[in-house]
Amino acid sequence: MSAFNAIGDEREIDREEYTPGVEPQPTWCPGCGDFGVLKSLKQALPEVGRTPEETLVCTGIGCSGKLNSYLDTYGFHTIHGRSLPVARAAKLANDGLEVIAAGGDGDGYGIGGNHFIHTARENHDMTYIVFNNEIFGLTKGQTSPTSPKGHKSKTQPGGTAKTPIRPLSMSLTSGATYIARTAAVNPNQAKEIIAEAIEHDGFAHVDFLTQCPTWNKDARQYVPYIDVQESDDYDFDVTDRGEAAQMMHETEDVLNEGTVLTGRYYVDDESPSYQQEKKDLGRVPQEPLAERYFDDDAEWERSYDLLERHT
Amino acid sequence: MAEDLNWAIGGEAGDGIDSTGKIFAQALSRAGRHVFTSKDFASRIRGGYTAYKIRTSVDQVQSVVDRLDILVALTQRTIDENLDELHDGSAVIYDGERSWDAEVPDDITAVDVPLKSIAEDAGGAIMRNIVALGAACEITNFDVEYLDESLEKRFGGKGSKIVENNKKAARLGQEYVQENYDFTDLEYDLETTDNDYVLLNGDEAIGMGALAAGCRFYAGYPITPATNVMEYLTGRIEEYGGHVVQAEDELSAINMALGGARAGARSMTATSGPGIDLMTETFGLIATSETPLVIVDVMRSGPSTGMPTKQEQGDLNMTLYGGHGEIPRFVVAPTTIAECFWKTVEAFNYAEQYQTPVYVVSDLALAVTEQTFPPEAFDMDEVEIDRGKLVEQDEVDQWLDDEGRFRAHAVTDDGVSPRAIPGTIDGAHMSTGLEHDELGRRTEEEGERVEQVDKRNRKVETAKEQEEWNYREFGDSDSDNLVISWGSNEGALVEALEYLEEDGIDVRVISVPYIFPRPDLTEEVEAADEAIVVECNATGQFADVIEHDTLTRLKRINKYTGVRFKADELATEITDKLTEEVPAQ
Repeated sequence: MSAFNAIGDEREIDREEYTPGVEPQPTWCPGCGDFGVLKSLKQALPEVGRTPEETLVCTGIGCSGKLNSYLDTYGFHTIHGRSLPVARAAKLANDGLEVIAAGGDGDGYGIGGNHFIHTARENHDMTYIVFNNEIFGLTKGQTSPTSPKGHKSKTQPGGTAKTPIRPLSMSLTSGATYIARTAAVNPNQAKEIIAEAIEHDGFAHVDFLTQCPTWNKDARQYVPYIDVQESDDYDFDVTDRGEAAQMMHETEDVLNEGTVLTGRYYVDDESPSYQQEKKDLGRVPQEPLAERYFDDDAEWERSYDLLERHT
Repeated sequence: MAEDLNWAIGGEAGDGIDSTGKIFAQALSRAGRHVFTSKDFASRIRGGYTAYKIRTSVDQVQSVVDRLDILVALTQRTIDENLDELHDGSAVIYDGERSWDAEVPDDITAVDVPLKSIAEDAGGAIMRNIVALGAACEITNFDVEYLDESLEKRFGGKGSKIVENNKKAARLGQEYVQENYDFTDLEYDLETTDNDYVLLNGDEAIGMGALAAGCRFYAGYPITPATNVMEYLTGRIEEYGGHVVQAEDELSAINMALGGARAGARSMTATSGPGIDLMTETFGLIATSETPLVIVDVMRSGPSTGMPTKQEQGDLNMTLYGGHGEIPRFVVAPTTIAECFWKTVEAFNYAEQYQTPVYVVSDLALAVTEQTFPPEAFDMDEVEIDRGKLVEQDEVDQWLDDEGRFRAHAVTDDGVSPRAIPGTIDGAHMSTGLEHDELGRRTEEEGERVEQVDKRNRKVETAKEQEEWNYREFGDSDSDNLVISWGSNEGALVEALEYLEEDGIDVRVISVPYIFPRPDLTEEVEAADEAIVVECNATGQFADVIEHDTLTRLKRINKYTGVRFKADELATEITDKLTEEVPAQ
C-alpha cells in the first residue's frame, strides 16, 4: 500500500485546519508583518486545494522560522540558511507534495545566498517566500543584506556603507521563473500572489515585505504601496525578461526613497522545472522515489546485475 | 601462499596510466587471478609522476608489498621513484627511442621496446601503453588474448576500428619482445584459473551497497577520493527508480540528502574530510530531528587541503565527536573493500532502525584500490532491509495523542519514535533543530528537555542490546601479543602475520569495524601481555578511544606519511614495538 494517501485527496478544506491546536496565537510582536505571510498562506493553500497533509513547509532561522509552529502542515524547521536544499530535495523525492520554503532576508539573501542562486538556476518546482524586513529581528536589530545604505544599527552605528541586495534582480539573473514582491500591508494582493506562486510549475520567489515595528522603526511601514499591475504609471510585460529586469531595478532603487512598488515582475510558464526536465529525459521516475518502498512486488529491486559491470 | 607478481606502469599524469593499469587488472581478473591494485600519485619530488601498481596471485591478495617485478616506465622518473622496489629479477620496459636516455641499473633486465613506433604501426601513437601491455604479457608468459575483452570494454564506445587497432597494438608489442629478447633468466609465468571474480574498488563497493540497501536519493559534491561513489551511482540509481543530484556545495549536499530522507527515500551523501567540515553544520539537525541518513567520509590526508591524494585515517575524532552539543551518532568503518559494501548496507538499516545519522568512514586506500573477490562475497540474498518504525497509513492512529496529533518524537522505552512521511493522513507534524516536545514543537521546559535527551541517548543503549558490535579476528587467538586496528589496515596486518610467523612471532589481530557503538575490548586487552594499536594518523585517535574504554595504556604504531601500511613494513614495526617499554600509565 502507499503511505501517501493524503496526496491528491480531493476534499473540502477548512482554513482552520491549518491552525494548530497548540499555540494557535503566534507570538510575533504586535504589528509584525509576519502575520501577513501566515494569513496569506492560510488563505491561499485551501484556495489551490492543497491539504495540510500533502504540504511540506521548510523554514530557516529567524522570526520567520516560527511559521511552522503556527501553520499546521508537515513542517521542517531547518538551520540558518539551509531551508532551500532541504525543500527542493523533498520535492525531488516526492513531487506529489506541495513544497514551500520560507525564511528571512538574512537567511535567504545572506547566509543561504548560494542556495538561493542555485535553487533558482535549477528551477525547482517549489515556492520560496522571503520575509523581507530589512533587518535581523530575532537577534534584536542588526544590519541585514537588505538594510538600506546608511542604515544605523547596533552593528553599524555609523550607518552601513553597503548597498542593499537587489532580491528581485538577483532572482531573475539566477533563473527563477516566477518573481513577485508583495507586502504584509496589502493582504489581498499577498494572498493572490502566494496562490499564483504555489500553482506555478517552477521556482517561484516571493519577496514579501514584512515590516518590523520593533527593530526597524526607521523603515516605513510599506504604506502607501503601489501595485505595478494596477497603477497607470507603470507598463511592462511580465513575460519579457528585459522589461522585467528594468522594472525590478527601478523597484529596488525607489524602495529606500520611500516608494513601495509591489506586484508580479516576471512570469515564465514555458521553461520546464528541473524535475520535469529530468522526467522527460527518463532520469527521474514518474512516481515518487519514496513510493517504491511500499510496492510489495519490488523486492527492493536489487539483483546480481549490479555485479556484472565488475566482471 | 602462491607466488605473487608485482607489476606497475608509471609516467606523467595525463599519460593514461590509470586506464592502462585498469585494463591489465581486468585482464588478470578474467584470467581467474586475484589482483590488488594501488596508485602512486606523487612523490619525493614535485611534479606529475603517477603510477598504477598491481599485485596478482592465484590466491587472494589484500595488501601491497615493497617489491616490483615488472615495471613499464614511460619516464625516467618512474624508474628513479621505484629503485628501492626493483630487484635483480625485475624487468623494466621502456621506449629507447624517446628523448630521455633510460638509466636502468645493471642488475635489472632492461627491455627496450619502441612503444611509440610500434603503436604508430598499429594505427596511432596514442596506443603506446597498450603496446607495453603486450610486451608485459610476453615477459610474464600471459596470453595476450586476455587483454581483448578489457580493450573491448574500454574502447568499445569508440568503434570497432579503435578496438581492433588496440588489439593489434598489444600483439605487436608481444611479438616484438618475443623476437628480440630471451627471458630464460626471468621465471615469470602467470598461471590462470577458471574462477570468476568481480573487480571493484571501495567507492564502488559503497555505491553498490547503497543501491542494494535501497538508497534512492543521493546528493553530493565532487571531492577526492569520494567522487567515485557519486559517479558509480549516477546512471545506475535511475534503473532502480532513484536519483542523484550534484549540489552547489557540501552544505547543500547534506541538506538535500536530509530533504530526501524527510520525504521518505533512503538517502546518502559521500564526501571527504573537507566536506565533513561543512556538513558537520547540519549534523546536529539530522540527529535531533531524528532523521535517518547515511554520511560517507572517504578520508584523505588533512588538515585543510592537506595531501588530497594521500592516505590518512585522521577523521575518526571528527566523525565521532563533531558538532556542538551532545547527541548520539553511529560510526562504522569498513575494513576491506567487500566490507565497504556490507557496512553501507548495515548503515542504512541502523539509520532507519535508530533514526539517526550514520557515518560510514572509509579511506583513500580502500577507495582507490581495485581488488578481486568471488561474487559470493556480495551475496544479494543476504541483504536485508529494515525500515524501523516507519509508520504506514494503517499504523498512524496508535501514535496520536488525545487531541489526535502525531507524536513524532514520542518518548518510548527503546528511545525510538514513530516516523510518518509527509503525505500520510493524520501524520502531519513539525520537526525542528530546537529542543522539542513529543509533538516536535519547540520547548525549553526542563522536564521535556531531559526526557528528550534521555530518549535519544536510550537509542544507543537499545542498539547495544539488539546488535552485535563485534570485531574481526585473525592470527593466533591465544597469543599474548595483541594488535588492534581499524579501517583499511586489516589487509596489510593479515599478510604481516605470515612474515611474523616466519620469524616465530605469534600475534592476535583484532580489526574493529564499529567505532560507535563499538565492542568493549577490556577483556582482550587484559588478556594480552602486549597490546598495540595500528592506525594511519599521527596522534593515535583510535588508540585514545580504546585506552579510554579499557583504562589501559597501549602501544601505538602510527603512520602519517600519506602512504598506507605495507605488510612487510608492518611486520618489522610490530616486532620492534613488542620489545619496547610500555608507556607510563
